[in-house]
Amino acid sequence: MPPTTLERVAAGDSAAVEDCLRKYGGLVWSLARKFCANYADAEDAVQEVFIEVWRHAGRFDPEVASEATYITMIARRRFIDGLRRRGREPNAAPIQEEALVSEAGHEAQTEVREEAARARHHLRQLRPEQQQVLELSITQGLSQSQIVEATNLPLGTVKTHARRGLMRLRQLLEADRDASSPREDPS
Amino acid sequence: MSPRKESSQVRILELLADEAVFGLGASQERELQRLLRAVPGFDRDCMQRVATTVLLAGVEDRLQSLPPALAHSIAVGERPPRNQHTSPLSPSSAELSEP
Repeated sequence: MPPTTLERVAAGDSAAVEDCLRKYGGLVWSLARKFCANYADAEDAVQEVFIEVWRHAGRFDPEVASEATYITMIARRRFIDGLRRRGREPNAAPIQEEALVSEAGHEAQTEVREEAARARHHLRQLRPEQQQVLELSITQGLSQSQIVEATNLPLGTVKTHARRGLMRLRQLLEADRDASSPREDPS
Repeated sequence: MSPRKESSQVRILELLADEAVFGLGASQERELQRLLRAVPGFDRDCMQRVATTVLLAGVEDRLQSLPPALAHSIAVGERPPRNQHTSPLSPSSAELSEP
């Protein structure tokens, strides 16, 4: 099997850096525009995310996660740190408006779109209240108290929906991975 | 697996789920560290990956392109000067007034 983009980055292949930016730069940028207060902060955040990606490329294990998931996990940590430092809500600017200016959609992002579609398919299998709480917290970046306010649910219920939803989603992802992994030859 | 170890693993997963969504308080963090010491080799990032899946699910129809100048700066390891952009994507006045 040929090396993944991140494995090539870890091996010092300079062309792999550009491949990685072409494949996943739009993903990280889209998330940065959502979670950062303004354009300049988003630029800084994306730079910092990719510095982390280059630094930790050698730890990427394709058996455990996809490249899109690995890079998004690094990005999410950076954006959560930023949100907590600011103590405020994420950028309220609707991303769709920006997409009209900077339309993506080129072939390099096909993998990311497919990965996102798979993720959405699994998320849609959770109970609606679990989906709602997870989307408000993780996708919208709302705090527990903001979710209580938005949903009129008690705090304990919000926490329970989040916990059970995430644990159920883990089961679904594991079942999907088991089903798609090649079976070992018994001989 | 002993019932005690199984119970520890369930509790670790609960705490990792809480951490991945809302973060942990100091006492929960101490409990998690104590439990993880008792179960060496536990996949510490497992719930962070699941939470990341939720985030990925939300970007399906919202992907943008990385601005070419920024992509170039990252590729060559430069940091672009701040506030050089005056495009419609620049921060609004409300954003600029943020502390």
